[in-house]
Formats: sequence, C-alpha cells, structure tokens
Amino acid sequence: MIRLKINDIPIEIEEGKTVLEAARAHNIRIPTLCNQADLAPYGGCRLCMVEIEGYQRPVTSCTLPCHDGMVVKTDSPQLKDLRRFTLELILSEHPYSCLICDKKEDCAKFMLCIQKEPVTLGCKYCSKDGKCELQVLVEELEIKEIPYPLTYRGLEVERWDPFFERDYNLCILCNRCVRACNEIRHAGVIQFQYRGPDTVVGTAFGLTHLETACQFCGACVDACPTGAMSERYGKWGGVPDKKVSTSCSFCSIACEVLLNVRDNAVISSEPEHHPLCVRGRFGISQFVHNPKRVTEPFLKKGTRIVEVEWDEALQAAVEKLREFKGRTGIIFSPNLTVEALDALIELENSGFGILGTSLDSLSAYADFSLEQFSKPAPIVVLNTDIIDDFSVLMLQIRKSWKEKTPLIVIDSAQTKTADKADVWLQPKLGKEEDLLQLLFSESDKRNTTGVANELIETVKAMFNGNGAYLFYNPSNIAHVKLPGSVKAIPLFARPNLSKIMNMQVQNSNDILHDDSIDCLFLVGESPSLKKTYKVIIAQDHFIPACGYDIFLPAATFAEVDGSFIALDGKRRTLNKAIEPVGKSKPDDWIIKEITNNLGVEAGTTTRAKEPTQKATPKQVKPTGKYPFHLVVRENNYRFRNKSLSSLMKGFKKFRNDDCLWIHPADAENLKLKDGKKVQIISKDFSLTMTAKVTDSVPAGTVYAFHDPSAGLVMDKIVRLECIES
Amino acid sequence: MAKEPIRILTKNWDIKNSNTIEAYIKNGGYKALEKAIKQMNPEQVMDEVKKSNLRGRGGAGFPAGVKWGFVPKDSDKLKYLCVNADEGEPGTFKDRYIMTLDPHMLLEGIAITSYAVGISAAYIYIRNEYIESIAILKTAIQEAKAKNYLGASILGSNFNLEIYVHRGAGAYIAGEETGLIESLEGKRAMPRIRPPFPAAVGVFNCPTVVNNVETIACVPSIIEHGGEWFAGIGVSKDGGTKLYAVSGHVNNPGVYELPVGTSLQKILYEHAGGIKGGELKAVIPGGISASVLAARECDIAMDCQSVAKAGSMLGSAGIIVMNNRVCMVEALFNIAEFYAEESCGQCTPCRSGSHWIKNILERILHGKGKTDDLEIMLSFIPGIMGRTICAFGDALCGPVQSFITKFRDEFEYHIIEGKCNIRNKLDIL
Ligand SMILES: Cc1cc2nc3c(=O)[nH]c(=O)nc-3n(C[C@H](O)[C@H](O)[C@H](O)COP(=O)(O)O)c2cc1C
Ligand code: SF4
Ligand code: SF4
Ligand code: SF4
Ligand code: SF4
Ligand code: FES
Repeated sequence: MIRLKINDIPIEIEEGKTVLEAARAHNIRIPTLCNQADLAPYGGCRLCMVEIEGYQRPVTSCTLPCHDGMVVKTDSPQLKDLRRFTLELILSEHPYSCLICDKKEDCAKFMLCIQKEPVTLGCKYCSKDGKCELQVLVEELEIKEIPYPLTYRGLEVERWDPFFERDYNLCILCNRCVRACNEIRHAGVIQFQYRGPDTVVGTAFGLTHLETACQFCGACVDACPTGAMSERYGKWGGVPDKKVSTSCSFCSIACEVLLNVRDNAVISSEPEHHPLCVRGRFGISQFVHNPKRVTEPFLKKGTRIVEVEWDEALQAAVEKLREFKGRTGIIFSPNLTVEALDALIELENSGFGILGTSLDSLSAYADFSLEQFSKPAPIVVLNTDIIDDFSVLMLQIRKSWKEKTPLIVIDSAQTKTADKADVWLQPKLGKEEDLLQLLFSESDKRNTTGVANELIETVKAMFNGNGAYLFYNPSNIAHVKLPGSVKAIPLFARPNLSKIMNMQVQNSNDILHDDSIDCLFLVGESPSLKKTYKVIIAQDHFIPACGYDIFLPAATFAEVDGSFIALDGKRRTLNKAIEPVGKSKPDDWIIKEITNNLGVEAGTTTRAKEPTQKATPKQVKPTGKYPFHLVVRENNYRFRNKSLSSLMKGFKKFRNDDCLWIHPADAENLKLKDGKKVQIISKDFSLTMTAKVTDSVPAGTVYAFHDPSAGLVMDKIVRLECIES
Repeated sequence: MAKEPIRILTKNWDIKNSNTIEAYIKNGGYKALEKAIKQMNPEQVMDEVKKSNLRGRGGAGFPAGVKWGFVPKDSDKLKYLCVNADEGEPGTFKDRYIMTLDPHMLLEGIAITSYAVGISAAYIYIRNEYIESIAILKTAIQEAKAKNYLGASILGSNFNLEIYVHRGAGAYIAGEETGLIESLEGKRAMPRIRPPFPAAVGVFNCPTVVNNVETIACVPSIIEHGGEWFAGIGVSKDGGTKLYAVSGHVNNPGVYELPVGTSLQKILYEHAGGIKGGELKAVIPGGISASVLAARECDIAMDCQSVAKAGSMLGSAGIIVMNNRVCMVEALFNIAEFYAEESCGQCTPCRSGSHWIKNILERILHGKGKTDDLEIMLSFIPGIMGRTICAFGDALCGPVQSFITKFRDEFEYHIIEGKCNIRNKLDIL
C-alpha cells in the first residue's frame, strides 16, 4: 500500500496505480481526454497535469505512478491556465463555434432541424451533441473564447463502411480508438498516419475497413470522446432516457449489454463489462426496429392475408391445433427463453403435437467456465472462424494471460482466424481427425492429411508438453480422442443446450420427413419443407421464408423479461428494456395462451415417438455426377428464422453469408464469375446462390453457411450449374 | 598538450580506401577490441569509459558511461544496443562522414560497448537517405565477421555479437531515442513516456542502450589510450574531441575535429575560413534545436556547459552560421515549418502549438502580422516547454524564444511596416 496526499486528502492505494487512478478512486476530478481506464496510459492530450511537491514541472497524472509520501495538487491557477491553453489548442483543431457560443443553452429549442447536415461544423450539427467530452471540458475549464481561428482539415467523411462512419475533421487525436483496437481487440486496424498537423487516424494504405481485418466490434467508436466516430444506425438517436442492462441473445456467449433507450425505442447498444462483437454492438437496435419486422397478428383467409386482433389469431391457432391433434409438429428455435421452452414442454405434454429442433451433435455438449482457462496454453481452433464468431470468448480467455500463446488454426478453408493465426494447417477435407491424432498423440500412422510433416512438428514443438486448448465446431467433428493435457471445447452457436438436451426432443428433420404430420407450428424457425402442409402457424419477429397461415408476432429479447442458458451452462437474465413493439407479445405468453385455450386435461401426455439417436452421416465421395463436395458451416450470424444479413445491409456487406465459396480453378472450369448466380443440385435438393470466387477454399470443394430455410443443413455431394454469365 | 592537431575520429579519413578493413587494421584498428576482450573484464571497460568523461554526441550530452551503468546487471533478458544513425537534426552531417569514411571505427566501438554492457545484438538505425553509408556498413560488417571481430566467439572468447543495419522510415522523430525504438519494432515512431527509460525497458521490452554514432566511435580510442587520456583532451566533465559540422555563411563549410571546448571564434575563423558574403549576424551552435546566439554572444567555448551557460546548447554541434543578409523572420519560419511538419502528433501542445507558430510566422513573413503576434507566440512557450512527452517540444521552443527576443526589432519591423527590413521590400515567397 502506498500513502500519498492529493489536495491535502490522505490517500492509500495499492502499488502500481497512477496518480489519476488514485484521484479517481477518491472522487477527485482531474480533466482528461486521452485517458481511458481500460487502456494503457498515453499521456498525449496533456490535460491531466498536476503539481507534485519537489518536482520542477507539472506532470501528467495519467502516466505517473504513485509513490509513498507524494504530495499532489490537482488544481491551482497555473494548472488551470495550462489546461485552458491546452484545451484551446485542441479546440483550434475541432469545429468549436457551438462549444463557446453564449447562446448554446437556448439553441436546442430552435435549431434541432439543422442536424444531419453533411458536414459537422459545430455541436448542433453533430450526432455526439450532449454526449461529447469536449462539451463537458469547455464548461469545466470555463472557456469562453478561443484566440485561434479554426483549422478545418477538410477531410472527406468516411461513409463507405458498414456500421459506423468516420469524420476525422472532428478528431482530436486522443488515440483512444487506436489503443482500443490494439489493446482490447488485438485487431490493429487503425493507427495515426502522417505527421504534424496532418496527423490523422487511418487504416494501412487507406484501405476501407471492410478490406482490413476490422471486426466491426465498435470498440473504437465507444472509445471516441467526440463525434469523429459515429454509429451509422443509432447516431441521430440523441441522448438516451435510460440504459437497461440485459444479455445479448444473438449467440451462445450471451454478453452483458447495455441498451440505450429513448421514447420506448432501443437507439443503440454498448458494452457493459466486457467487449461485444459486431452483432451485440451494432445489431440489436437495427434488429428490434427492423423495417421488415412484423408486429401484428395475421391470418390467411382464403387467398387473402388480413391483419387481425390477438383474440382471433389465437382462436384460429387453437382451432387448427385441435383439428390436427397428434398430427402437428412443433419446431422451435434454440434461441428462445427458458420460459418459452418451459411453455413449449407444457404444450407438448398436452398431447397436441411433438416437439423438434434443428440442433445436431448435442452429445458433444460439455459445460465450461472461464476459470478453466486460467493457465495460458496454445489455442487450437478447428473448423470454426473463432474471430468472426466467438471473438468475445477468445478475448476473455486471453485477457487474463500475461503471455501471448500461439494460435493454431486447422481448417480446410482460409477463414479470418486462419489469416490471423500463427500457424494455419490446411488438411484435406475429412482428414481433420487424423491430423489431430498426429498432433496430439505419438501416432505412427502414415500422414495422409495433406499437411507437411515439418509443419506438424513445428506445431508440436509449440505445445512443448504444456497441452493446449482445442476449440472445435461440434457439427463437423463427430468424435475426437485426445490426451488429457488437451482440453477440448465444442463451440455451439446456439444457447440453451443443457435445457434442450433434457427436453428429449426430436430432430426437426425427422418431423419434416414424417408423412403423418399435417400441421406445423414454427416457433422461431423456418425450415425448408419437404411437403405441403395443411396449416402452418408461425410465431416469430419476421415472416418465415416457408410461408404461413397464421402469424403470431413475437416480442424480441429486448422487450421481454426472462432468461436463457449461455454456452458456459449458466443462466443469463433478460431485462425488458422497452415495451413490446406494436402488438407483439413475449413467446412464452403466446404459447401459454394457446395451451390454456386448448383446454388440456392434465396427464394425457402422449409422446408420438421416442427421439431417434442420429447416426453420424457417412462421408460420401464426390462422383462424376456430383463432382463437388458442399461443406455446410454453422452460421453464427443467424438468429431464429433469419440470417442477420437478410435483415441488415451492414451484415450483408460484412459477412456475405448467402454466398457459395468456390475455388477460382473450379469457377473457371464452370465459366462461373464472381458475384454471378449458380445452381447447386444434389440428389435431394436444388437451390440458387451467388458465387464468391476465392482461393480461401480448396479446389473440388464449395462452402456455404448453414441455412435451414434454404435446406443448407449438412454436407453433401453436389453438381453446379451456371445460370448467369 | 600536443601542437599537432589531435585526431581521433578523423585519423583515417585521408587514407586511401579508408573504409576497408585492411586499411583500418593497418592503422592499428581492432587493437582496442582485442585489448578489451583479452585483457579487461566488462567492468573495467565501463570504468574506462566513465573515466573518459565521454558525453553523448547525439544532442543531450549525457555521460555515456553513466548511461551504460543504468542497464540492470541481474536482468535475465537479452540486452540491446541501438546506434542512432538517424542524423535528422538540420545542420548536422558528421555521422555520415564516420560511417562512410571509417565504418570499422564505429563497428569496433559497437563491439567494445556491447562487450562492456553484455549485449549480443546491436542495431544501427540509419537514416534511409544514407544509401552509400548503408552499403558501406553492410560490407564492413561482412569483412569484420570474416575476421571474427564480429559474430560468434569473437577472437576466441565466449563473446558473441551480431550487428544489424536497420533503415529508418524517414522521420525526424525517429531520431529521438524512444521514437527510434518504436520504429525499430516496426511501429510508428512515437516517443514513449519515460520512466521507464530505455536502459530498463527498451527495444522489445528489453534493456537497451541508445547512443549516437559519434559517441560509439570514440570508444575504441578510449580503450586504446585510456580514459584519462581522453578526459585530458577536452574540458572538465566533457572529454575528448568533437566533430563540429559547420554550415551556412562560412568560406569553408565542413566537418572539423577539435577538442571539446574549442572556442567558437577559432572554429569559425581559423578552421571554417571566416564569414562569407557579409558580417556575422548569428550562429546556431548545435543544430536547429539549439537557441540562436547573436554575433555579440559568439565568444564562447564549445562544450556542453559553456554553451548552456550562454543560453543555448551544444546539441549535435551542427554549427549554422548566418551573415547579416539573413532575414531572421524567414530563418525562424524555416525552422518552425520544419517542426510543424515533423511533430509526431501525440502531444497537443507540440502538434498544435508548432502548427500555430508556423502559421503566425508565415503571416508575419508575408507582411500580414498582427501587433500581438509576438506575444501570442511567446505565450505558447510555457505551455509547450517541458510539457510534452519528448524533448521535441523544447527543441521547438528554444529557437522561437531566442529568435524573437534577440531579434525582436526585425520581427516588429515586419509586423508594423509589412515588409522585410533586410530586403526592405515586401517579401513575396
Ligand atoms: C526530436 C529529437 C530528435 C533527435 N534526433 C537525433 C538524431 O537524429 N541522432 C541522434 O544521434 N540523436 C538524436 N536525438 C537524441 C536522442 O534522443 C538520444 O538522446 C541520443 O541518441 C542518445 O545518444 P548519445 O547519448 O550518444 O547522444 C534526438 C532527440 C530529439 C528529442
Ligand atoms: S471496429 Fe473494432 S476492429 Fe474495427 S477498427 Fe474499430 S476497434 Fe478495430
Ligand atoms: S477518432 Fe476519436 S478516439 Fe480516435 S483519435 Fe480521434 S478523437 Fe480520439
Ligand atoms: S459475442 Fe454473442 S453475445 Fe456477445 S455481443 Fe456478440 S452476439 Fe452478442
Ligand atoms: S513532443 Fe512532439 S514529437 Fe515529442 S512525443 Fe510529443 S508530439 Fe511527438
Ligand atoms: S489524460 Fe493524461 S495526458 Fe491525456
């Protein structure tokens, strides 16, 4: 413990803390701009200067470690002058007219309409108005005029990337975005460029963020004290009325997230205790208030679809379920709340239908907690793009590690993670398990994996007998036998696994292939259908691709109280941030209403069939007729019945996940061009997709993301036909 | 002492093919390294350098032996030497001569320094424009390796050393020692916050010695002749000879090796051949970061303390001479423009302050100055000097303050009359 005095207040603080941290811990305010608690000290803005007894000059408190017996003064006329001088200089590089305007208090009443100007020339034109740190500092340091004219940089506003925009004319070069990108995300996308007054934040070679390794996590946007970086969708949302802490439901990690709410709308979301990924940071408000969302009940009457009241919609659903009692399949998405799942069990128990979901490989499920990863070890990632899909998990695991351990990727496709990896091993398709054997056990098996022996030896040397963590995609690898030193963790994209395992439900495919089923009740799912049904009841946020007869609008996770089970097996709470949009209702409410109206006599449980244990599909070799191997990858950017790309333009640009990845040599043989439509034909299905020609995938193989509504659910052998040239 | 001029750094420069290892060895080269390795232990080498009063020749004038002593002995990390060959300070052009004409003296110095501090890898961070020096250094390293003065088990001992030539990225700030380290690590040259100093945490987070080319090139003769001999050449606490690079309005511009503490008058009139094209008006004694001295202040000895006493600094000893036809507003604008362009952009006062000073000088120069412009510029000084991460901020303030206070009448003439008193006409650039 270190004892020091700040402004005559005796303070005790643990060793290694800075004077700024000591002051903050005791609510002594020191003006700062470049400091951010979770980033390394930078010392650039020079606002946080303090005086230390015995020191000749003022020093920056954000970089100065506390020493025993230090006597610190955080305020004096000299310091105030110094800070004013510095802030004036900062403002001379930033449009300041509104900051020092003596009418600024009254301005908002009259001038709201001038927001959304293409160029920001003052606070009233800026999306950060009311949230900007410069505004606070100008008040605090009582700056009334600035002796220098503004040097406007005249840079083009960077609007070409999805999710966020950058107007570096507003940048005050605090470097927070740069450090956030490097230190929080290890992404290294942005850095200062040029020198002197030309200094500006930018990417290497002026690439767009899409062309770099940018994860669109928004850590940079959240770090920015000014309006230089702004979220595209929520930027004009204004100052929130309240912030509601809840859990992001887009993936199984279930991050804590703060929803910013204004006038019963989610205007944006921000990280609470740890970083978010692009889905949680930029996806939530756009998802909840998506223009494609349907928030009223609809009913098919003859050939017409009409909007109805809840009573009528529920009544219709109940009638149909009664009519098709025992012939109804209830297919649900794992992305529901525990409460909704419980309600579904009740409904099934009433004997009106059988439950099914599209989860495979559940047998691989294993609980894990972050504590398991306290010991640093190399990370091996198998067939999953952990940077795109589970970046937050990896950041959390690595955060506590002092040393950086190697990242090894095993994947037949060149993913973003493969690009970032220390070693990328590209085995032949289907040889992943063999490769694992070669890597982890003293096997004298002949190496037929297609990976060079030297490379295998290099990786083995990296393990150095310390073991490793293996993260793998459960739907690609059926069975992996590993030594005890290797901790294997299957990464499931969907939540609620332990719950669903106990529910003992059918696989949705079995239901879809069951001829006796005439009615489907789809709760958050939209499968590709094998036959026509007499009735389809759909309960969701969006209209399912397979069509419907009765549509019941469900409230999103931002609109409900409830819970779900995250990848670590723990329960996460959902806190209602806004009232359900339109007439939508929580999933569990809808299901319970139906169950109650069905009028169930308790104890009539009849399970139509015992759940079947799915056999691992045998790998079929491509043949002359079907020369390509179609690999279907789990899509962590799907939620309930939609892929995020189909709902939001940003995700479409970022993920491009409705594309078929094909090797240039194969494309050339087929005379198929990038961006053109191609038909994929297998024994039992046919669909059209856009080709993405890339050498990230091996020849003879095409890759697509899992999409049940299109029938892309498992690996197949296929034939391709150009339908556009 | 000697009537013969003492030549330590320049002793081989007149020899034919002075940059080959044969010529160097023929003139006694690599004897000092052999002596150090075979007859002395590292502490003794370091003690000799401490005794020599060798001060850093890169600008700050910090005693070299003391700096080496800061490197922790018990650290189990690798230690590095970075030789600062960025030579970015305008008016400075001495290191290039050493590297081109006598690269082996530098290499021998590097080897001895590394032996003394326990270093096994040294980088020469060299200004990218020095294409010729880069090629010569690379050849010299090969030559020295072939003769086992570098490489593994040097001269049969267990001392190993690799030297790497690293080409700079072309920024003045990459010459600042922590900017250099960042640049060497492949990052943007942005000076680091100190403490920790490089001696504790330097390149790749390891203890690192950063020294100027000339500093290191002095080391072989210190070991050969002894620290006391070297100390005896200069003045108290500032030993040896110094390469004075004289440029500007003199008849014989060039690099002159003279004992530390030689008088400026002697350098200008005896060696550089006197003032050219007019009378002496002002001298910048140590590269543009040093405060300007008016002609009447030029009767000083050129060692660290004497120049400091005169209100300037010896710096890199790049002496820039100006005759009475030089417009001081234009000269300062030239300097300010350089600083405004070269600030790394981290610290507000340096980045923005240098920009404003340049802007204000530009308008004064164009006859559009305002009456309070001088006060505005001077009011910047307390906000910049000593308020920044690296010494760049101070380097900017020295010239601004000294030019304006010492030649105030010229600046005022520009402001009031809207034209230049030297050319007596509106200055159109
Ligand atoms: C802005 C700035 C630029 C510098 N440029 C150089 C340079 O080009 N060459 C050099 O040797 N030292 C330069 N220095 C000084 C170095 O920071 C450092 O003090 C020096 O390399 C230490 O070596 P020495 O002790 O041998 O002088 C510069 C310092 C500053 C503040
Ligand atoms: S969005 Fe994330 S990865 Fe992209 S630049 Fe910002 S911090 Fe870096
Ligand atoms: S963009 Fe924002 S966070 Fe980045 S340096 Fe500029 S002001 Fe700071
Ligand atoms: S990692 Fe998962 S839970 Fe976290 S923000 Fe992204 S989608 Fe949401
Ligand atoms: S003083 Fe100037 S050059 Fe030095 S770190 Fe600060 S901004 Fe960069
Ligand atoms: S907060 Fe300390 S220098 Fe910016």
